[in-house]
Amino acid sequence: MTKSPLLELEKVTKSFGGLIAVRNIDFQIDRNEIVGLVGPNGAGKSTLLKIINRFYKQDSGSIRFEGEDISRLNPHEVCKMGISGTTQIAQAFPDMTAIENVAIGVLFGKLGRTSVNEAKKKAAEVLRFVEFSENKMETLVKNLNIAELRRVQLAKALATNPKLLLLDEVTTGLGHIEGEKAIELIRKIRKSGITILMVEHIMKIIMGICDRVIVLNHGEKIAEGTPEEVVNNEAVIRSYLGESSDCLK
Amino acid sequence: MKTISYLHFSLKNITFYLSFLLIIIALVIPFFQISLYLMHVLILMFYYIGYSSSWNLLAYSGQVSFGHAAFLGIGAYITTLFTIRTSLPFIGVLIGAIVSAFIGLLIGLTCVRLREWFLALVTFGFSIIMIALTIELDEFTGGTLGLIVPKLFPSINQYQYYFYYYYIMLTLAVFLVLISQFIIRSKVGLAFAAIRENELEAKATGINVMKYKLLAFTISAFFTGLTGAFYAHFIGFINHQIYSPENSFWPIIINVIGGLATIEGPVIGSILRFFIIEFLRIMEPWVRTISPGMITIYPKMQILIFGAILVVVIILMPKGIAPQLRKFLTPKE
Ligand SMILES: Nc1ncnc2c1ncn2[C@@H]1O[C@H](COP(=O)(O)OP(=O)(O)OP(=O)(O)O)[C@@H](O)[C@H]1O
Ligand SMILES: [Mg+2]
Repeated sequence: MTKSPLLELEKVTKSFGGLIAVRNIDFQIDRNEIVGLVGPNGAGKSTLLKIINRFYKQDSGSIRFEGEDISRLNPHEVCKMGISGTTQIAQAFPDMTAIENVAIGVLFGKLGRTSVNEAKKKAAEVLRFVEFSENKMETLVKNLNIAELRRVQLAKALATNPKLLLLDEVTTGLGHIEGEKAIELIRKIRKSGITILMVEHIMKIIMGICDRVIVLNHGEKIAEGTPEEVVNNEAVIRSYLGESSDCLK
Repeated sequence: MKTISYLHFSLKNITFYLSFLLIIIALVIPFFQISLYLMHVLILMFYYIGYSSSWNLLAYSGQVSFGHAAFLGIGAYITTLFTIRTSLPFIGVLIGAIVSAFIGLLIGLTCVRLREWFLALVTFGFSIIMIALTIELDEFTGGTLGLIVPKLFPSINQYQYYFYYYYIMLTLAVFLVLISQFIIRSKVGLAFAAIRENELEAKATGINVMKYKLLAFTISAFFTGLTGAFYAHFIGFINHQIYSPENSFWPIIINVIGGLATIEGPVIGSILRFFIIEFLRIMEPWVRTISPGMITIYPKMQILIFGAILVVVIILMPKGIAPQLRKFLTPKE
């Protein structure tokens, strides 16, 4: 059973109207890897993550999680199987406290079956794990700054007890120091045994933490390999021409 | 952390004492030999608390119904038809609530994918269909002439009936406020709130949005049907007008003024409604003396005044009175 990879995509295609956002994508993710998903703006990275967490239905192709076909499931179902993550546009439940946001993850995630009070206790633990400030746990999420909101999002995703965590540009919008802290946190999460698939614009971050990198361009996979292999790949260099210079630094 | 939990605690205490005080006042009022009329409007006030609390449970999941009179009427008609045949009003009331819940589930199924205006339109349309259906099925429903509703229990005179009914309706109101509180604090309530705040995010967090939206519809329709049934046995008569748009709008007006998706909202809104309507009634002779012409349009003034209050509240306190009151009651530092 543990033979099959954690996540397996086969010939996945998704289009919006005439635009093919993701074309014929194949890849696998093994347990306890950190895999980076990179590519220029509009390459289809977020779309791919949203197909995996079932926000979007693919047009064709199949997705397997722990060997099970999930290509027809709904978001809440795959969440209960152990897939969760953060979205690019920072979202949460704005009129609820940080604790409540995370407690919802505990209550409805893979664990479930706890009382609301137990869930809140567990939520506080998870918030502490992501180093969220102790005195803001009862603050409404809409009153938090972006760095704090990101931590709540992360905690909410972790609270569902995932096996696979999907991260879409978690460092975007954060300052240098907060960004560094976020990277530390991602390492810590991996150490706790969670597999991570992350979209990230800044190549330096990818180089620093990813075991493997997948490169998308115009919806197609143009390269895959270790970070070193990928940055030296011709096709990758070409696709990034004209992109902002910090991408390949 | 310490200070926050302390503030929380005191606010909770104040709310607790206030509710306690309100209930004590409500309990002793009938012993002051008040008029039959006052008794009547107070019973209606409790009815509105129950009705708008039931409506609120649906709104709590982010679904705003513009046709809740439909469930009110279904509960009322079912208990009436049942009681006329069996003389078992308390069972009738329960069956009315159950049938209403079932219809609520069916309406919910057509509504779960709709949003805002479409949801409003479908629910409103449903209540209008119920009017047509009631008139059409006149052999059964009495049509526009309506039906006499049997009493809930025997009594020697109307005052005695009102006296006991006062406590029945008060119990219903308190029960519905408490059960709302219980639901909203539970896992189900957190799911409702999450769906209201961000449906997509709720899905991503493992919430079966469809299931919980249907649950909200069913629960809300059940309690609305229950309230409608008790209302019918109190008023003693029903016809198609129970499905009127006005009846659907009251819980919206009450909740928006009191505070949408709050526990206190229905209570504050209903008490306010009671005072405003009483105020208008007291003013009536005065209006008659200063402007006899105006008295013909005076009944319409009620709606006008509520419309004006609604506008003022929406502008000054977009979230209604309850959150403002909470802020006011929270001790500073
Ligand atoms: N819901 C949608 N409807 C229509 N088109 C969409 C939708 N979502 C994405 N697209 C289009 O699909 C393409 C891929 O978008 P996607 O968001 O996946 O790119 P991305 O790689 O995440 O880009 P970025 O780096 O800017 O986040 C883009 O051309 C985008 O305009
Ligand atoms: Mg993106």
